Amino acid sequence: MKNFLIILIFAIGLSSCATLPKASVDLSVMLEQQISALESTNVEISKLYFELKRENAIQFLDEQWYPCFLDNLFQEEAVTEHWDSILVATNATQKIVLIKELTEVIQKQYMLMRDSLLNPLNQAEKDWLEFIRQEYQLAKTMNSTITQHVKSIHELQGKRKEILSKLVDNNALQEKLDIFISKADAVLENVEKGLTQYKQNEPAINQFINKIIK
Amino acid sequence: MSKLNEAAIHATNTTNAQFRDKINKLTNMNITELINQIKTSTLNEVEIKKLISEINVATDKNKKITELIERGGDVAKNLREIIGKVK
Repeated sequence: MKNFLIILIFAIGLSSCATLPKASVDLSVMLEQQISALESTNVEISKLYFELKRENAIQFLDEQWYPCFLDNLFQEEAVTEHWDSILVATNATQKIVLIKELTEVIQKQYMLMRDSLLNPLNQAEKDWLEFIRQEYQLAKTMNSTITQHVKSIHELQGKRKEILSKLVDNNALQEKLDIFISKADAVLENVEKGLTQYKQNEPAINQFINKIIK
Repeated sequence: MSKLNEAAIHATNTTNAQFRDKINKLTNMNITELINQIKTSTLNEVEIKKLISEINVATDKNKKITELIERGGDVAKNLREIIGKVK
């Protein structure tokens, strides 16, 4: 029992070192919300940016690369021979088979090129989003640690006040403190008045002292 | 079909060579470089984790003291009554 009381008094003493307003806890919680909101915004802007990059790549593929590829393709001997085969084919089914072969080859190259343009962008987007997610997670962990700590100090203070109110009559203590402060104020006021009067009469006092000395 | 495929691959390579700079510009994001640059200017994760564990120890200590005070609430009340009687 004695040991328990010593620990209790020690605990109260430890917790009475500083005051921590409830606003600190609230602000810390609000900071967590702010970090989450900033993370969402950052992620959205990043996604929009990469979407734009993908659109640019597809636009280049369709408007510049593909027409140039077709020009180059039809300069290839094997392709011109194949094209001639299409033109000379008398059977409609055979023509369709030959055209289909050519379009499949063209489509395959188009899709390969499309992938080679988009894959690096997709990978870069994935790496970037993972990086910012980790950075925000670290910031949130830091803030959460501070929030928990601030909250624990606040709770400790609350309990300290609660237990002190059980040990000491806070109202009576406050009343006595108020009386003491009022008395101290009155004394200080008198001292101030005295000093003001002295300053006003200082020349006359000095003159009187000089007369006595002479 | 294989001749046609070879021709298509050749045409692709020719086209890519013609647009090499443009393709590089469109696909090279330098994200790794950017991430490394940011990492050098942001906080050291190991140092942060060390600080976090130190704070967690202090938080646990506060929680234990709070529990101790909670348990001591009734003792304090009794103590006050005894002091009142002595007076």
